[in-house]
Amino acid sequence: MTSALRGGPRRRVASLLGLALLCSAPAAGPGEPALSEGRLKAEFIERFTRFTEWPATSSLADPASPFVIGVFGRNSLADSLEGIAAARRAKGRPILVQRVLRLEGIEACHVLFIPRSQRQSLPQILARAFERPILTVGDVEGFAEAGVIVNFFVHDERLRFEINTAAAERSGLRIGAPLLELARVVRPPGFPR
Amino acid sequence: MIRLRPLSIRDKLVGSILLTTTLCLSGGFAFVIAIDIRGFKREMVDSTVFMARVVGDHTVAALAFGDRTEAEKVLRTLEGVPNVEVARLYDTRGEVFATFIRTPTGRFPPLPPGAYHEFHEGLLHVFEPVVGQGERYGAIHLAASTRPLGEKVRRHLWVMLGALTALILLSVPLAVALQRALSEPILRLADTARWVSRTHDYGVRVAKTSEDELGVLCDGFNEMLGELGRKTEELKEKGAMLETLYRQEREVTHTLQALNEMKTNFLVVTSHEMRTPVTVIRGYLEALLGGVVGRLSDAQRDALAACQRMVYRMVEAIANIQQMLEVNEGFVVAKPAAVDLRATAREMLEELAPFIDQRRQRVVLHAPEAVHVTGDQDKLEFVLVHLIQNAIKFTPDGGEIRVVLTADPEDAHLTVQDTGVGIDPREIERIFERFYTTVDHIHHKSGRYQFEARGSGLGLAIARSYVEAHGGRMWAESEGRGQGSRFHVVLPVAGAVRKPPAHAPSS
Repeated sequence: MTSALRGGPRRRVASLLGLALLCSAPAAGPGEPALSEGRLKAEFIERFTRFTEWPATSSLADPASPFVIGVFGRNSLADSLEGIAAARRAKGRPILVQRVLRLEGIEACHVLFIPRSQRQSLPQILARAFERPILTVGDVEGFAEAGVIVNFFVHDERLRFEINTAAAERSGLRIGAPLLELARVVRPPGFPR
Repeated sequence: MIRLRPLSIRDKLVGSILLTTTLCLSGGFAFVIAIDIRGFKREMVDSTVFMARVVGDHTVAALAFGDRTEAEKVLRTLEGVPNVEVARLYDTRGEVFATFIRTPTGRFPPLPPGAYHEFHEGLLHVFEPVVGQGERYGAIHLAASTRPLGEKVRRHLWVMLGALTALILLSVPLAVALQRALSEPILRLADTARWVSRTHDYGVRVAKTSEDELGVLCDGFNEMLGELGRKTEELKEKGAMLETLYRQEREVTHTLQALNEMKTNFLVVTSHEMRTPVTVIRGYLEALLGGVVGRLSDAQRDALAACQRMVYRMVEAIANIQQMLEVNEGFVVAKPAAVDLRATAREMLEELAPFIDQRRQRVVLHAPEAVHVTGDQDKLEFVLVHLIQNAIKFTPDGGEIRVVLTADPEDAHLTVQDTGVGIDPREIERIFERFYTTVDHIHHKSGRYQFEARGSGLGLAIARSYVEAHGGRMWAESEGRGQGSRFHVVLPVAGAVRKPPAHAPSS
């Protein structure tokens, strides 16, 4: 069935389109390059921005200001993100990828990726981001329970994510229903199901 | 094929009303059904497109994050929609991303660039792009079975057919009631016409029920009946009159025939009974005048001579009557022979010369050539003698009698012309009738003549019969009273070649 449609026009060869193939590796045709895990996570982060709404009172009130995706500390993900930022826009604005090295830099971000290396400083980072419209993204088991809004994990050799809806609510962000459909929803202990 | 002729006007009317109704209703229903079927299809397309959009919206995230499991989960929700046979999700590159198959079907149409739908082999194929917040993530394809649509259309058709049948059935009593207004007067007219032609009763009338053309027709029919009745009465009266006339005519004819027979018998008997006594008287008179019984004084001789003249007349009259009877029975030339008319004419004139001399009349015979005819010598002599005698009789003393005999290759032409009393033109044909004699010819001026002018009235009739028996014609001419007369006899010449004359005959 796939081969019947392969002859159709490929209007976009943007890297985004490779995503589906990567995610469904067994179905991928021969010769299709698989995306690296970093690139995949960068794509996911860009998708998160599509299904999430930031409050109008944030720094996005100014239509000229860029959409800032921050990476705390030094991480190769920033490179992958920059590749995406060059080709795409988020919320109708150019994407600016920032390496955040100090806690103060957090406040300027709309999305903040907290890599595994920042596990120790997580409480401080979260304290700083608390009640600010910043979508925090992690890829360490337990991060979501700790208060990070979106957290990657791998299940059945596929990249998945979990969402701490309570944390999202506190930050003032609205997570879109489609995103919640795909995510594993994490509730803090004692939260009524 | 239905023959329309033997159907009555009632059936034709009902038939045409029903036909019109059925055609109109069927046309209307067909139109409505066509529109309804279009609507049903449109409805199915709309609901399927709507379904595709809703399902498509739910697959946005799955497509965005490449989550096939999630996509298939969403597509599986279509299990609850019984007529969706196949659902397929395409990614932005046009590759099949996820499928749901209830019933494996044949070929699918290729992925179109935008929204699209088509009916194909019992399936409705709907393609809708999957769009989330302005971003296109792929397309969804739903193939829905049209079986429910077909059932719906069928059900609709049955309902409509039922309604149509009901309406047509309802229109039958209506048509019957409507046609009655039109056909009843016509049928009544037809019944009356049949009744009249069978019974010839012209007294019946058709009741007029309306003031329209049919009413006019009724009036006309009634008027016609009246006229027919009157005419029939008249005809009957005239027929009766004719019958009476015919009966009377027959009676008269019978009487006339009887009278004619009586006359003939009377003539036969009389002439026969008279002949013998007259012959005897003539014999005695001749003997007396011949001095056989002694010398006679002059007075006696004169008296006897007068008697003899009278007897001769009687002989002649009897002979005439007998000839007449002979002609009556149909004279035919019994023994035809060649007759020289010129010689006969000369002979006759010689025989009659004493009488002519006595009257001091002049006779001219103009016969430049001999003329021969075929016939009976005696009868032709009778014709000639009679004509010349007549001329002598009716011409005053000193008059002229002219006998002319000419011929052309076909006919002999004999004319006896005199300068006598002439004939009234009104009587010119009647002189040939039997027993006809002119009234006042006795009183013509000469006063003395050898023959008594009064004849038996048979001579000319007999002469004409003889001429006609010879195939000829005879007629008279006169300029009127006192102008003399001219008798013509035309007879075919012997061995005549019937063809136009080579030269005009001299007058």
